[in-house]
Amino acid sequence: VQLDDHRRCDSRLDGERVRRALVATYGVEIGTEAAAEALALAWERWDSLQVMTNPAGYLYRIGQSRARPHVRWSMRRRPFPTSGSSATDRAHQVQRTADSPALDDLFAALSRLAPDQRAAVLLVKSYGYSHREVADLLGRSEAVVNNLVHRGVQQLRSMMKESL
Amino acid sequence: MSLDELLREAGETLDQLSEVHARSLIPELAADVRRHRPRALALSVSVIVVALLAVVTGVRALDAKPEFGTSQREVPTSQASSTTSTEVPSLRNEQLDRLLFPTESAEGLSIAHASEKPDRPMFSVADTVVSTTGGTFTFTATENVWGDLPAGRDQREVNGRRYAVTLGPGVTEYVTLDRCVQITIVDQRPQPTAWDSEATAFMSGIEIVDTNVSVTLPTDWTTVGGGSANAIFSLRYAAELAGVSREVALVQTVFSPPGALLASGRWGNVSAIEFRGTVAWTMAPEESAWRYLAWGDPSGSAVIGAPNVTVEDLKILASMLEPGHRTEWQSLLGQSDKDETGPATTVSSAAPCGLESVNVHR
Repeated sequence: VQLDDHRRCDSRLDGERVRRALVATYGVEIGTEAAAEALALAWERWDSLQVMTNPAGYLYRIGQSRARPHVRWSMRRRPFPTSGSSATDRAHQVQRTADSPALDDLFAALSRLAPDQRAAVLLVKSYGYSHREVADLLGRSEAVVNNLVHRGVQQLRSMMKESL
Repeated sequence: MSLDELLREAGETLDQLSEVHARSLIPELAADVRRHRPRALALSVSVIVVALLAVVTGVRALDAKPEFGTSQREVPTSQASSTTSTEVPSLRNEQLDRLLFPTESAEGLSIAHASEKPDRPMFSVADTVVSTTGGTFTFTATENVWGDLPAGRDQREVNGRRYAVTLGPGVTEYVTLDRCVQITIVDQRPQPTAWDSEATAFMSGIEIVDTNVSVTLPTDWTTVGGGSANAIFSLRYAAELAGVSREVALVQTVFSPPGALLASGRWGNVSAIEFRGTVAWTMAPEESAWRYLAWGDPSGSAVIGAPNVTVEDLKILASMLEPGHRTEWQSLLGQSDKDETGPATTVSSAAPCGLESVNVHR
């Protein structure tokens, strides 16, 4: 059963940004579930959240607290899909082209970045969020985000020399 | 392909995978509730709010007259512009008395979600409309909480109003803003094209004058029947059907018509059927074994669903429900009569903005 109670917080708090950040940090499964729980909390605590200056950052931290108990377990596998994984099979069901070799290489390379670096790169480069928006989410300064993105892209280029 | 292009594709892929994973939680939720696992409640609430990630599906044409919808319907909302505070009597006990409750062969009853009606005029009016080709659109009229349209989204002007579209995995959502009012339209059709003729035809009929919204539907479009979006109660349980135990989801709201309840979610393909001598709706989400039946009566509206069932099965499950089980609901909600007869909610209506009325015309 899917309800749209999220909508009132989503418009103000940009729940999509929170979800993307958590997925980028913790991977598809843990990130999606952590985001869902954080947004559920947003519904329950709307009155408190609406007066916050950075509600999205607060929700991201809530999502982190939900995700952390699962992180150690998840370290045994890649947070992102590659060819043949069940997640990629699901992607095929929605007619994505997640099985392209270059994309597989990119996910593999992303998996080797530090979580904060991966989140910064994906949020800025994949989704086009500003450094300011990403800094608010991750609780870092804009300069740190800039550095994370710059070095993260360099590392990706280095790891993907043969694919690019 | 450059790294920048690959990264953009990776973002789209992660959105899709996240959506698929969100949807995969739904059957797990039912199983969790039955087993009373500690995480079940948190997960169930979580599943409810991941609607943004859920698939958007289409509907078949509804040519039957809607039960609540009329050719011209005025929907008063919870709050009008005013400079005074209003004492609003608590409706909780009356709500609980009207809520349906499973009476036969139900096991493992668990509240999956219970929401209070917001005490501000947000999320206050909703409806579901169906085009001549069977495409379904839902819209909600709320207080303007965005302020301005988001600059990063594609914006176009339709009939003098500026709209922004949000394109996500399984979601095509349009928003237009007035000083006080926000209209959000969700295109529920499968894989819709943004700004296509049906979407713009619907948008072109929307007018906002101060705190009043007028929606003129294109010729031969149907309204399921909208109204004020009240508190939603969601229940999960197991019921025996032809000797087989089935997971069942029951979602209902008191004093809200089906169009408002359906607008609160993405239920999949909608078809009109006859149920109890009037029109009702069945829904079949894509890539899901769950099937749903929605209906309304003067007390409110309800949706019942179960996996791998027929419409007749759903009708049987609906026949097992009856109102008048306040004590059972209080027990499930962990509340008592004393809790419910406390001070009435005080709604401050000093805000200069709000939403006064929504009119849907054909």
